[in-house]
Amino acid sequence: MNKFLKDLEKELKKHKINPKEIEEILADHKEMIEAAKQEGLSDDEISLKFGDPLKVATEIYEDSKTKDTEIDFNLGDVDSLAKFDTNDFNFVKAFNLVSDGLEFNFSLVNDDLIFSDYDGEGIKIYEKGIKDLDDYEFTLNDNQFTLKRKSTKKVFKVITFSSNSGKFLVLVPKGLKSKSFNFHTVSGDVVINQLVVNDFRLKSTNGDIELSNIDLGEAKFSLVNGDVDIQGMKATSFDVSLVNGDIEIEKAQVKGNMQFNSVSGDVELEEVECDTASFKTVSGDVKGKNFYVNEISLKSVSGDVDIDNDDKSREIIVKSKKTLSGDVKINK
Amino acid sequence: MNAQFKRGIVELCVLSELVIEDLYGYKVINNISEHLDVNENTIYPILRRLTKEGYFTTYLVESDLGAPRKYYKMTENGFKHFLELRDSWDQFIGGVYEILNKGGKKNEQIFKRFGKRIEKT
Repeated sequence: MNKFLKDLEKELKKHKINPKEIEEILADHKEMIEAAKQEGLSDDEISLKFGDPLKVATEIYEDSKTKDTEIDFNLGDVDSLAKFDTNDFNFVKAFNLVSDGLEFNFSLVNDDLIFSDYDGEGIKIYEKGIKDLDDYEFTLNDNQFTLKRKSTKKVFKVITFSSNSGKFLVLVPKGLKSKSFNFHTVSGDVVINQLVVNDFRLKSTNGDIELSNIDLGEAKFSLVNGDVDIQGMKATSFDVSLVNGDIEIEKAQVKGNMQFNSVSGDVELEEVECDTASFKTVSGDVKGKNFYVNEISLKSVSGDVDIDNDDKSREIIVKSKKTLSGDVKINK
Repeated sequence: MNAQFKRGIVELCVLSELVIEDLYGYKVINNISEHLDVNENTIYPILRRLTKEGYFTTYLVESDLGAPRKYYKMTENGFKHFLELRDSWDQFIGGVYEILNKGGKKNEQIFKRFGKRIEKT
């Protein structure tokens, strides 16, 4: 029966299943074959019962493929923007039992947040430089995860009397698929790496936003001043409104519409694909390099749209253009 | 039988086995292959996928006879999934039988009634 295991390993490798999974699958099979032997099955009977290892490998490969298109990026993972070492942080709290479908709610004032996945079970919260943990609420009830600063009175105190701000680090298990992610801050920065969620909302006055390897479903950002840097994104729709900050998106696939409302911030898009895009700006410019979109509209005072794509045969229709002195340039 | 169709049915069977009790991998395979002509290479990938999708969790139980065995346990989501799948299966198979039984319930009966109208080739 060792031949079965060897063949199975070979087939799994051929199908480029990841090494960790291969190890697990082989261990499962070793255990099952052993169980069959203990029940007195002969080698021949076992081969009959287990069948062709090639089939196991193909089926697992097919399954992983369909799963991949659901959560992973066809674009390939990009480098994480979340850089941290848990040793630099103090452990605060862990929630051991988590399942898909979580609703995340963050409400912070001036503290930063790093949100990332890790190889492990449960949600882990760490902090660095947080003055008083009693000012915060950490809960997980009925699939609702909350991290928030408690009372508004204290919030004012913090803003006026303390310029110190700390940092939270929240780690969630790899592959977790969540229902919603709501983030609300005044001046804290947020860095997120690896998030799969159906509904994403982010509201911030001043903080900078850095997101990598994210699958957001419906995504909505409303910002005043901070910059947004996104690398590796999937979304069904994307809507951002900001006053001053700049937006940079590299590698993204959006099924539906991308909506940008900005006053003076610039938008830079590289390797971005979406169905339709509309830009409303006063003086902000839009620059696209390999920005594949079927239809765009622009409403601006002086903002320009400039798109330069390698594949010039893919037509981009300018649906509407209302601008005083701005211009739309496509592949020119 | 169409592979996709078979997979769907085996998925329902796997879920059904685990509704009753927690089982280790080989036991699931054994219980199902007692009744249906399917083998490990169909059942295991399904068991694995359903676990990945959060319908089962696993835990290890020490065994007197050898290595510890991985037991599969149904989650609440798994139970919901089972109920839904079983419901649509019942509806589907019920509909199929209503159609099949129009001509009679047994082959002999059908032959007697309709045999004559079949064109001989």
